[in-house]
Parts: sequence; C-alpha cells; structure tokens
Amino acid sequence: MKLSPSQERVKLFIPKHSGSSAFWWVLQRLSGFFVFVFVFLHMVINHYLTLLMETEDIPELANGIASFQAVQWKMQNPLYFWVSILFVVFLIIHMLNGFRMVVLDVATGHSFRKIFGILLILVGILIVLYAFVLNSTVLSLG
Amino acid sequence: MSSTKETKMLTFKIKRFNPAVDDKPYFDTFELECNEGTTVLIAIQELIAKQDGSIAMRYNCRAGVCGSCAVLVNKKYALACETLVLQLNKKEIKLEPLPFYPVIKDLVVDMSQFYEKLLAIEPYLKRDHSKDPEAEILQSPDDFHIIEESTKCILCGACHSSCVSVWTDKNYLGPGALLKAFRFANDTRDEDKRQRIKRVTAEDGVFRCHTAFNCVEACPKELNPTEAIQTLKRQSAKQTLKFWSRR
Amino acid sequence: MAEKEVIVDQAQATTGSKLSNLLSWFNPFSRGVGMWAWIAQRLTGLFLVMYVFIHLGIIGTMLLDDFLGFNTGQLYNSITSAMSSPLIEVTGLPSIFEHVFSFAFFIDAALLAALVYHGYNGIRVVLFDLGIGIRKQKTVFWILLILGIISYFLAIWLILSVPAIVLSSGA
Repeated sequence: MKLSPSQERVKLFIPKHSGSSAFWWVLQRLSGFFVFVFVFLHMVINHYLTLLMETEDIPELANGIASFQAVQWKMQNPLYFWVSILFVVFLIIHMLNGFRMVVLDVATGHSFRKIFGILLILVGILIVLYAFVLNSTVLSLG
Repeated sequence: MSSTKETKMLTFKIKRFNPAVDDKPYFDTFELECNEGTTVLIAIQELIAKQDGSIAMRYNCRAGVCGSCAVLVNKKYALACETLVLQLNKKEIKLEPLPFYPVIKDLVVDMSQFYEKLLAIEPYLKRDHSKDPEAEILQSPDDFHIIEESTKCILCGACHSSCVSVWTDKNYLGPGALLKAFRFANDTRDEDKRQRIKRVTAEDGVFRCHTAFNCVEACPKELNPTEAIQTLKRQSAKQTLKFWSRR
Repeated sequence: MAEKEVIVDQAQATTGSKLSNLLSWFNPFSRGVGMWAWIAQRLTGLFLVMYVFIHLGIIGTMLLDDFLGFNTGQLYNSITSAMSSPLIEVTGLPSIFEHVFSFAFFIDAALLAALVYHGYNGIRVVLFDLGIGIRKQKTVFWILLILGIISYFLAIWLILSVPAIVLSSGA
C-alpha cells in the first residue's frame, strides 16, 4: 500500500520504543528519595553530630567535627565508609539522569541520545571510583 | 438593537502576519463597540464585516464544540467563541495566534503536526469485531467514568501549543495526543491496551512530560491532560518493568 | 500545491530557532505556579549538579597532600578554616551572627536554599507521579513551599548557632 505524504509524516511521529526510559524514570524517583534521606544524614553526621552525642570522651573530635582527625575517626567505621559510597552512587544516578533529561529536552537525535547516555554511565562509574579512592585514602592514613 | 444593553468601546490589537507578503508579524489596532453578549469571535466577525475584510480567522461551530477557534486572548489560551469580551475587564484586547505553530495567515495556524501526532497513537477503537454483539458494544457507567473527562477533548491544540517539552522537542507527542492515548488505552472496549502503552513508552512519549502543568493552564475545556499522562506513566512503568509476567 | 508549500515553509521561520524556544521557557504568558516551580526545579538542579562536581573536586584537593604521601591532613584543616574565617570584620553584631560574613556561610546559605527547594518540590513531583493531589497542584506547591521555608530557616539557625562546635577555631 502506498502511503500519502501525510501518512508518511504520521509514521515519523510514532515514538521510538525504549523500555529503558521507564526504568530510568522509576530510578530517578527512587534515587531522589534516597538522596533526600542521605543528604539529611550527611548534614547531621558531618556537621551536627556533636549536638547529638557526648564528645568529651573522643579526642579526635577536639578540633571540631569537620577537622581532618574527626573525618579519619568517622572513616574507621565501616558503616560510614560504605554508606557514604552508597550516597555517592544514588547521588550520581539522580544527578546525571536529571542532567540527561535536561539535555534530551533539547537534543532529539536518537543516536546522540544513545551515545550521550552511555557516556554519562561511564562518567558516573568514574565518579563513584573517585569517591572510593578518596574514602580509602582517608582510611589508609587512620 | 435593544437600547437597554450596556455598550463599551474596546480596542482590539490583532497580530497580523501574511507570510506571502510580510517579513515580520505586526499588530493592527481596531476600535469596536461591544455589548455584554459580544464574544471575541463575534467581535472579529464584525471587524471583518465592517472595518478590515482581510483579517483571517478560523471558526466553525461558534459554540465551543469544534475547537477550531483557539487563540491567545490577552496572553491566555481561550476559545474565541466562548470568551465574552466585557468579562475580560480590559480596555485593550490583544489577539494572537497560538504560539509555536507555523502561522498560515493572521490568526490561522498550521496544526498539521498536532493532527499527525494524534494519528500516530491510533485514536480509534481496536478490537476483534468478529465477536461483537449484534447491537452496540456496551460499557458500564463505572468504566466510562475513568475516561469520561478525556472524551471531552475537542482537539483545539492549545495544550500542544503551551507545552514546554513540545517547544524544544518537536518529536514529543504532546499532551493532546497523550490524552487521547490515555482515553483509548483505558477504554474497556479496546483490546489493544498493551500495544498502546508500549507505543507511548519512549523518550519522546510519556517520559518527556515534566509536569509543568502548562496544558492544564491552557485547556479551554478545563481538562487535565497532566493527570492522564501521569496515569500512562505509571501504567507504562508497570508494564515495562514487570519482566516476570510478560505476555 | 507548490505555492502552499512555500507559504508554510516561510511561516515555519516564525516558530523560532531552538535557542529562542529554550529562552521562551522564561516568557511569561498563560503560565501558572506549576511552570515556575518546574523552571526553578530545573535551575536548582543544574546548580546542584555544578556544586557536587565542585564539592568532590575540592575534597580531592584537600586530600592531595595525603594522597601524595605527605600524610599530614594539614591542607584539609587549613582549607576548612580558611572557608569559615570571616571575609570582613564587622563588630557589634549579636553573637549568633558572628559567622555570617564568612565564605562558608554564603555557600551554605545558597546551597541549602537550592537543596531544600529541590527536595521539597521533588516530593511534590513524586506525589503527582503516584497520582496524589494532581488536581490540587497549586495548594500542594504552596504548602510544601511554606514547609520548605520553615526548614530552611531552621537549618540556617543551626548553622549560625553551632559553628564553634563544627570547627573549633581551626588547626
């Protein structure tokens, strides 16, 4: 069957199916929720922990919760170490996916979208590795 | 003409543009005596009849059913046939064609991309007609209630014109087409729900909607395309991510 | 037919380029609260993306001497104390406003504003995704905005009242 010019254009507007779009949409919401929780914990632990507990017994906290000694002390706790990595993972997912949504609003080419998505995943992995290196550096000095 | 009616002299500023002649759009100013029953459409008709015959305007039913006369009235989306000029409470009324559509002439815009996107989601009932009952296909009031609001869309194109995602991404289906997609995907008489939802599961489908609520703001019929799109998003996510029960 | 095509093509120019479409996000016509909320969500989001990169970069710089094996933590402490030292000397202020004129406070105030807005509007968006309160989107926005302002000032008060505990005078 031969299509009329208008029907040809209709075919152009049928969106390219991508199941990953639904996946990223859900992940953006989930990671957003986790970031919301983790940012709160981050603030409390890194800035206001001294309000919540007795600090006189811990010599590392003598110079304040933001001093290097205090960071080293906190990093000794494996929970702190891994939760901070988890925080970075969720943050990077949320942040880069949000950035991708902004870019995809303007960039409409299918191949560009694909390449850009893969590029962002690589950048995300690199940032998580970087965060791991930072944490391990602090830990190795403790 | 009855003398009891209160009349008022109003200024109409109409955005004029004829692509064949003009380089740039410009505003023409007209004065017109209006009474309480004058709609924007009647005012334009009188201007065409008495002052300038070259104003181009599209209208059909004059009763808010056909959706051909959507324009920007004082920077707000409205149907020209349903907007009473005195109720706007403005001395000066600015009329512009719907933004982000190509202008054919004056207030007439080329809405072909809106209709093509509408056709892209196949806006008609799909079912196995060999099993149809002898008479009509019945639907319970409860089932109809789900899609009741979305059946009221008159395809005026205001939502498509107002949507931020449409402005930057020309391939995005837009609120109008997605409202129709919701209407057919959730119609209990339709048997193609899975394919319909699969079709809108795309970056240029439902997930380009960022809930800016411009379409709700724009809709002259006060429908809520955003709610329809959000429902489609949930259905799409459920269908796509439920890999253990794929048919 | 050919003539009509030409006319439509000419008219196509009036719909504007990609950049002008992008700028028309900020063109105020027929807009409600939802649109401004979305634009602000976007701008704060981009600001926070920028901040996270800078934050990670600065932390990396702070640990540079440790990473290279000098093993002191001095760089870290000197940068943190430089951040929280006052930019200009203003005397006669109540003690709670002692640290207002530090670099760290300006950064923190801006960061918290963006963070609180983005977080609370994020809750609003997730509520809509779950199908809650779409019809009442404006009310939901104002309620969450008021909650956000309250939590913002609570956080600012915390920052101002406890800096001495956070970093006592610097190494």
